[in-house]
Amino acid sequence: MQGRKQVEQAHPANLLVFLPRLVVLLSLPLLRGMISVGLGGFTAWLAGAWMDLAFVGAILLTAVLRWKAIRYSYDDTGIYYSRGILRRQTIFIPLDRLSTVTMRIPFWVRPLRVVELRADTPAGRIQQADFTLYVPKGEAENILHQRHSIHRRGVECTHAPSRLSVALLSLVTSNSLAGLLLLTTFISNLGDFVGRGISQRFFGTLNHIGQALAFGIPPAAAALAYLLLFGWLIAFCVELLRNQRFLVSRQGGLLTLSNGIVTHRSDTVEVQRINFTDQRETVFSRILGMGALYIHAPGLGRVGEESAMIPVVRRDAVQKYAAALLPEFTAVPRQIKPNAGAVMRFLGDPALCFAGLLAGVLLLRWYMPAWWEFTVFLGILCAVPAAWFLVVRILDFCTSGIARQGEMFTLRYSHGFYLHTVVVPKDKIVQVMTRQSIFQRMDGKCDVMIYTYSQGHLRHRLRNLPEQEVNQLFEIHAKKRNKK
Amino acid sequence: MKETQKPPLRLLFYWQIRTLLICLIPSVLVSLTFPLGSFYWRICTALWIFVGAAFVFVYYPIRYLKCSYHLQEAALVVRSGVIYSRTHTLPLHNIQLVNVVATPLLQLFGLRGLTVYAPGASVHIPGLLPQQAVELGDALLAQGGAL
Repeated sequence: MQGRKQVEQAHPANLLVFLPRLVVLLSLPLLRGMISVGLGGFTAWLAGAWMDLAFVGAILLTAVLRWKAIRYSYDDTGIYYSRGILRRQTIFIPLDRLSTVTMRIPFWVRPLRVVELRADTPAGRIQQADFTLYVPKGEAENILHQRHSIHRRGVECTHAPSRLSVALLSLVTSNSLAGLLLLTTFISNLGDFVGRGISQRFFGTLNHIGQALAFGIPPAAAALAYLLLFGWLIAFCVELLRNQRFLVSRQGGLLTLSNGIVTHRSDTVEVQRINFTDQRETVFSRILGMGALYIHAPGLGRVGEESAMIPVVRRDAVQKYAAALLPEFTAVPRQIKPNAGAVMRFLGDPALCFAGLLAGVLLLRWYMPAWWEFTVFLGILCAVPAAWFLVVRILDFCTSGIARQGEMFTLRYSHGFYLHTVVVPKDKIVQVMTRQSIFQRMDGKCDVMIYTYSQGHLRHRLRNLPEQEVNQLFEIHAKKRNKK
Repeated sequence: MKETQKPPLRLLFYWQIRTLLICLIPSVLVSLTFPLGSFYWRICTALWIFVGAAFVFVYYPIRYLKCSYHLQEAALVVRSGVIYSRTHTLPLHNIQLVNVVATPLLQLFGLRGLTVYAPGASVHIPGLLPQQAVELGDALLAQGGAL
């Protein structure tokens, strides 16, 4: 254990982790009360607020004690970390076991010159990193340097995507509902502090906009459409800020992804720990010949999601950059594909969507004849994604399949509205499940579910492939019954 | 273990007895809700008897017939399914832990369930003899570690 640093007290910025929201919630009424009574009425205010003050004091004291109990050190073998007041825990994470190390710099900790350092291994809880601590920036860089020295040799490459690519990535990943959720939470919290009037005024304005800009469609439908559009715009802005200054670099066995303006984030992942790469396309991006490459590794990105490695660029450029940054994960043309007669296995779900939609519209017409106009508008609105889904499935039928090259599998399939090209190493496949209906059994076909290495369940589903060829590819031996 | 194994036959009886015990719930509920011998009592009783009988005489026998497992050199293969036939193949090198399950009813029948966990997947073998469950669990972990 050469070069071991002495055990250090955690930076006071870690107090922020232990200060629950309750303090903020209690502090605001306390502060407001203080302002309202003025300096003269301090005793009267204290008599009313002593209980709140005692709670705030207790929370602050606990936070300080927990912070004082944190000790950490690191050397060329790993990170040592101990915490806890009554239940003392000492953790050692070997550097070679780390899959992802993330350095996050939110704007509000920048003046303190600290960064949030997160380290994650394939083990531990799904929602949490194994180690999270605010440390001085220099210390974080030292820890990263120790890790880089282990994986120094190998491929060296850097890719800084254009602003257009980053904007297109934000466009693709923006979600109206996420934006709406953010907006409603913000309005609701603002209402709590500033007064209910603000939230009522917001929803009133939205109603007016809906009525004023309802060009030939019912005002309620217009309000819904504008709300979704507004939500999407907010989500787009958030994503754009998150993806600015995007940079991906490969140094030996490590891949580093960094991005963000408001919160700068840098994830360093060991290439060996990458579970799979996923070239994700929508119908639009397929028509335009664009694509983006995502990677999945423990501790990388948001829970259950992959992180973008190459933002939206032309499809041939995705392959070029992927080959330069991750030559281990190269997609190959499909070797097993569904037969021509399997088309209904692909089109069955969209057909069901259309049938359900038609039934729903007719049912609403029967129940609410006065709302007929709105029902038709809603039906047309829902028919668009159903038609979209149909196109996705047609493309999926034409392109889906599996291929194997050495120890790497290439899976092409669709999930929801996305077309995926996944490259996964054999050792990251944790389960292969083949599923046959009675009809599939008759012509020797099966659906294949491939579960890949993950902290939660992660499944890739391919439809209607020849069972025998799948068994050969995944080395699943034919059924042999014990006659005893 | 180079050949496909089937769980002991008592697993089928276990499933059937469990179904009969579960059927006590609707029978009591129906008798409490409707007057004995009334029209609705007869309809509901016929319904739960039909569903229970379908499970006891059709569903579980087919499930038992289609249930098997096979420990290969590098993978555990478990076959199951009634309407859809499923084949689960779990590579041994990724196995993290095995869990032997014993509920009171399973113990009464001298059976154990075995769940095998890998990061991101799990496979369940519903009924094994206690000794078999322990041996299979050990074999899975030993072979997984050796790979």
